[in-house]
This record gives sequence, structure tokens and C-alpha cells, in this order.
Amino acid sequence: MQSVARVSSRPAHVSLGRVARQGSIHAVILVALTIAVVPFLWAILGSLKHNDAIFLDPFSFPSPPRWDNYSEAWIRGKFGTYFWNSVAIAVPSVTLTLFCSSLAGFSFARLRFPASRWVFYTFLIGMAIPTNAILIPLYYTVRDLRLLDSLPGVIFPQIASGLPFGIFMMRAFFRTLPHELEDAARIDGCSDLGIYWHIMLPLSTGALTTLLVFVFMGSWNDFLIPYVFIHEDSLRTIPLGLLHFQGSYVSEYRLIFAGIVISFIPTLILYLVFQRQFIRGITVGAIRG
Amino acid sequence: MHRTPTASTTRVLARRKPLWVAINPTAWLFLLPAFAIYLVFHLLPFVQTIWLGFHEWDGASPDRTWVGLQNYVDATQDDVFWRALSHNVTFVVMNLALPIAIGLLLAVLVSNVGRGLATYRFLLFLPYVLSLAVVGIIWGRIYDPNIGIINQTLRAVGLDDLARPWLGDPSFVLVAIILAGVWHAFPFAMVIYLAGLQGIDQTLYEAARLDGANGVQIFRHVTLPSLSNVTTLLVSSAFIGGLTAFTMVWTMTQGGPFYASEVIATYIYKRAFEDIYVGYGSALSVALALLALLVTGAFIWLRERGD
Repeated sequence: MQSVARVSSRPAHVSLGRVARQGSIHAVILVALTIAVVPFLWAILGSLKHNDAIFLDPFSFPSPPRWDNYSEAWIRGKFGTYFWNSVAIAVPSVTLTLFCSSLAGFSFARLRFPASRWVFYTFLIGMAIPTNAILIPLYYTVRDLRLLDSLPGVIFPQIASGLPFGIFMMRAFFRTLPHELEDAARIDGCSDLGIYWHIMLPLSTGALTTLLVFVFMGSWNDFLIPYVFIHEDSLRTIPLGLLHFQGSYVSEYRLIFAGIVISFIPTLILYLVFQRQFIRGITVGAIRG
Repeated sequence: MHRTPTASTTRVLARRKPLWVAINPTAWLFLLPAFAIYLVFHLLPFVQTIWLGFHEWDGASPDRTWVGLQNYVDATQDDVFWRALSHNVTFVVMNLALPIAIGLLLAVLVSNVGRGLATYRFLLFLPYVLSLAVVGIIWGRIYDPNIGIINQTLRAVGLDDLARPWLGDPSFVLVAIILAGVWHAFPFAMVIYLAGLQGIDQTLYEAARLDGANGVQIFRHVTLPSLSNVTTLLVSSAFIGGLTAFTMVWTMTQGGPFYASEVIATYIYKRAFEDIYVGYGSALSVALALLALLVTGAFIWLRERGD
């Protein structure tokens, strides 16, 4: 199935077979593509229609497109609030995770201290423990810290679940950097902090960007942690808000669709801009991990 | 004598220094923020789950009654628990087979396309970008008996009798939810396989071709074995995903109708946070965590063995 083209040694009639084969390859891909993309299109089209039109003409293009579905969803449906809550959680979550991961990753990779391997393994175990399994005591911890129904109450657990992978990635990255950089800086009398700040950090922008996209997606799309810790409607994140909205406005399909589109537009934009980092973040974790 | 300090030199120098420097407090300081958050919000809760599993507690009163293994014994006689577990098994099996097979197929196809690989990969990856909650809600609409596109399409081609309330029918609901999950997950497998395919040494293919192998044989004997590491990873990831599935079930049916789509994670949530049987819920969580750790451990063992 892997073809390296050797056209020169093939007679002309075989190229027709190759065309047919290429054609069927494209055909199968197109079927998969349709299945992948249709739900998005249906939601986008539906978000611009009347409720009746969604029922009667599911695939028609709305004319005129009802853009006010969006303003209604944003204000009456509170999606504006939910949106900014998601942002207010994602930004600190990502920043702190990146900060802690790069510091710790650097420490593991380049600073010598006793038991460093064991501490690293302690972090690694975290990757094998699903959040589901620790949810119950985590809830009571957050409650006892008076952080229920608060943004930090969601941010800290999110950071904690993202740290194992973040530290793993940053440590792996820092280990690939040559020792000479560091040694030269030490001869010049640079402290560890200085090495980290002036040398390591600027060099790691690529790895940090990849990690950033990964962690941001994790926080923005997170459902479980916010769901358990937030019950106050004014603090809900988008996934929570969408679920709640669906329950309250059961038959207002157009608004539900508008809410769905509002949820995935930021993700889509991020994906468009940072496509390579998305895919790299996943494959790096997979292939090397 | 000018020598560039190496790691061993640094260690030698460190031995001559006072103890507090050798312990390297800076290193610990760098670790502190990460470790503090991780300890309080991930590691300690894990220990506490195990501890709570041996108690009975209502979450409010200061006493927690020690009950030993009673919670675990109760679990073995809990019908809903076993039903939910069987649903997880179905989840795992389908989550293993479908996204991986589809992902592999598409990866092979897409990597053989001349131009358009990037476009196809970009578009095919879209479902994975969504939040699981949003996937659940969109597919909840797709499965809607009145306005959903599945029933609409069936009616449009005259297959009206096949139209049904997909999420309300106990015989279909679990599969319906799993299929939505497959839609979300196959791009993940595809992208990883694509990367894996690109990493395969081309000379292996040429050697196989010289030996007269045809397309299928090359696939079986060259492509698949080279992808075994990737496959192991995807299998373990699908396993964990199937075991801990919560969000999609919760946003689509909440485990209904009448436990027809109940899974372990939703059941734990209900017992611990709705019925407030904290000890029981913790015991079930421990069982779940043990299963997850077992799978991850098996995966690591397989990988080490493969190298």
C-alpha cells in the first residue's frame, strides 16, 4: 500500500488502475470527511435558523440568517458569562501549569539532588491516576479550603492534573539541550535561577507553545472538574453552561445550536492558528512517552 | 589547567562543599510550586480515596465509621454496579476496535494521497478538537427523535420505521453513545498513526518489494509490526478512556433510561454526590483506579518488552 512511484518501468495501461485506486482512496476519505464535518455544519446552519426551520429543512441554508440568535444566546442565555468564566479559568490554569512545569522540568533535567529520580516517579504516577478516582476526597479538600464555587477551586485541581504530563515534557525537552550552554554560564558565575531565566527559558519557547496549546485545550474543554466544584450559575464554564442551558431551554434548538457554536469557535480558531502545535503535542506525548 | 566543568566535576566539587549545598536547595525550590499543588490536589486525594473506602461517611458529620472491607463486599452484590461494569466492558471493546481500526485505515489512505494530505488531516481532525461535553450535546441533538439528522435522513429516504428515539431506547442507547465517542476519538488514532507511518524506514519497504511481496503482505509484515508501539499506546489509551468514561454519558443520558447506559464513573458520581454514600463511592473509585493502574502498568511492561 505504500507506493513509491516508479512510473518509468510501468506500462501505460497500469496508470489507469492507479487512477482508479487514487480515486477510491479519495472517495473513502471523503466519506469519512463528511461524517467528521457534518455535525459542525448542521450546528452552524441550525444556529442561524428559526426553530421550525431546524425541524422542516435541516440542511437548507437559512435565509435570512438569524444572527440575533447569537446575541440572544449570549445575553439571555448567559453564554457571555460562561465564556468569560472559561477564560478566567483557562488563563491562570495554563500560566501556572507552564510555570511550574518548566521550573520542575529544569530542576529534574539539569540540577543534581538526592532522590531526584524518585520524586520524578512520584509525579509520573499522577499520569496513571484518573481524576475520576480522586474526585471524592478532592471535593472535600476543596470544600474544606473554602474554595467551592470559586475559580481557584477549579484552577488548582486542573493544574494538579496537568503537571505530570507538563513536567514530563519539559524535562524531556531540557535534557536535549547541550550541557555546554549551562557550563559556560556557570563559569561566568551564573546562578541556577539565572541559567533558568536567561538561557533555558528563552530556548524553550517551542516546547512551551506546544504544551500551552495542549494544556489550554484541556482546561477549556474540561467538564468534570468544573461540574463537581461549581454550582453557582454565574460561575459556570461553557461546557457546564451548555448542559444547564440545554436542560432549561429544551425546545429552543436555535439557541442551543448558537451556544454550541460559541463553545467551539475559540477552539477552532486556536486549532487553525496552532494546528502544528496541536498535533505535535499529541504525537510527542504518544511516540516518545 | 583549564577544564570545562562536567557533571562529574560538579559532583566532585559538590562533595567538598557543605551538606546544605550538596542537597541543592535551589533544585527543591524549583520543584516546590509544582509539588505543593500536586500534593494537595492530586496525590493526597488519591491516598484519601483509599482511606475513605474503608469507612462509611455522610460527608458532613465529624465521625467516619470504620467498616473495613464492607464497602467492597457490598459492591460485589450491587446489581447496578455490575451492570455498569458490563457497560464499561462494551465501551472498552468498541472504543478499542473502532477508532483504532478507522484511524489506521484513514492514516494509511491519507498518507497515500498525493496532494491534499494536510487539508484532509486538518479537516478529519476536527471532531477531536471539541470538548467531550460539546460532543455529547451535539450528538444528543443528532439523535433527537424529532429534529435529529439521523431520523430526518432515515425519513427522507423512506426508512421511517428505522427511526427511533436512539437515546431513549434501552437496546440502542449505549451503542449510540459509544458511536458518538468513536466519532470524537478516531482522529486521535489517525494522527498518531500518521506520525508513526512517517517514521517507518523506507528501506524496509524496498526490501519487501524486492522479495516480491504484494501490498497486503507488505502491510501485514512491514507496516503493522513497525506500528506496534503506537498501537499499544492507543490500545491502553482506549482502555482507560472506556473505563473512566463520564462526560459523554452524563451529557447525553446521565446513565438512563433506567441504568441502560450507566457506567462506573456515573454510578460513582451518583452514589457519592447525590446519595452521599461517600465511603461506598470511594471504594468504587479505588476499584476503578486499580483497574486503570493495572492497564497502565501492563502497557508500560509491554513497551519495555518490545524494546
